[in-house]
Amino acid sequence: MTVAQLLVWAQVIPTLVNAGIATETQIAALIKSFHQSLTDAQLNAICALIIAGATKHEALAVADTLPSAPVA
Amino acid sequence: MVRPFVFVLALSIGSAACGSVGISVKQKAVLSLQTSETALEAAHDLERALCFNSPATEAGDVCTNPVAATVGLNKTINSGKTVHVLLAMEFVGAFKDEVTAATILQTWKAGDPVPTTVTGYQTDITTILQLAQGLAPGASAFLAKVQTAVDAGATVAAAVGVK
Repeated sequence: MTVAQLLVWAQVIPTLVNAGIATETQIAALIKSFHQSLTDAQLNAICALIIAGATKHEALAVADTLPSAPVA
Repeated sequence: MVRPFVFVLALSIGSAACGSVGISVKQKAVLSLQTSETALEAAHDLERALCFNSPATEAGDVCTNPVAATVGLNKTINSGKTVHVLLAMEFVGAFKDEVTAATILQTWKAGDPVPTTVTGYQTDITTILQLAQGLAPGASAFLAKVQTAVDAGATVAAAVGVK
């Protein structure tokens, strides 16, 4: 959420609460849902990070199932 | 005075609830998988640190760190394999399933069939948890990370619709 958007919400929220239209908790949840909403591209980038990390650790784990090489 | 705000609020809630339901479910699944993956990587690093004097340069089925015997990683419990090797085998399966699950989730949408690797991943990390629970208290940090991975894995499963 940008600062400009935040300012708009800061003006709107008291009106909504005073009019009994929404509770502060409901509004906080709504704002949080906007703030945390990620695009498909961002989620796919996270998936790529997961794949990279898991691939690296999978290779390490495979090595640990094999006979140990003599330690120099 | 109030009516425009009601409209704006209704519009906002409506768009959040309808337009992005698929995204939010996918987001929950992806972010939970990331949490689980991060915890599992940390758990794997901790297990290897308990097993090897120099985990960055050593690998294999024999632990070199004296702590390994203290916590029980050298114990033979199944088919002549040590706990360390059994854990490594389960880590292989878990990380393999994570790669597949993350690949599938890139194109997955709410309502699509449940990715079967998510179930497989849950089985793998649950087995790792059971093995970790059999270790001595010296491995408690390892156990805690595995527990985090399992908890987040359950959230992934719930998000994609595993019953």
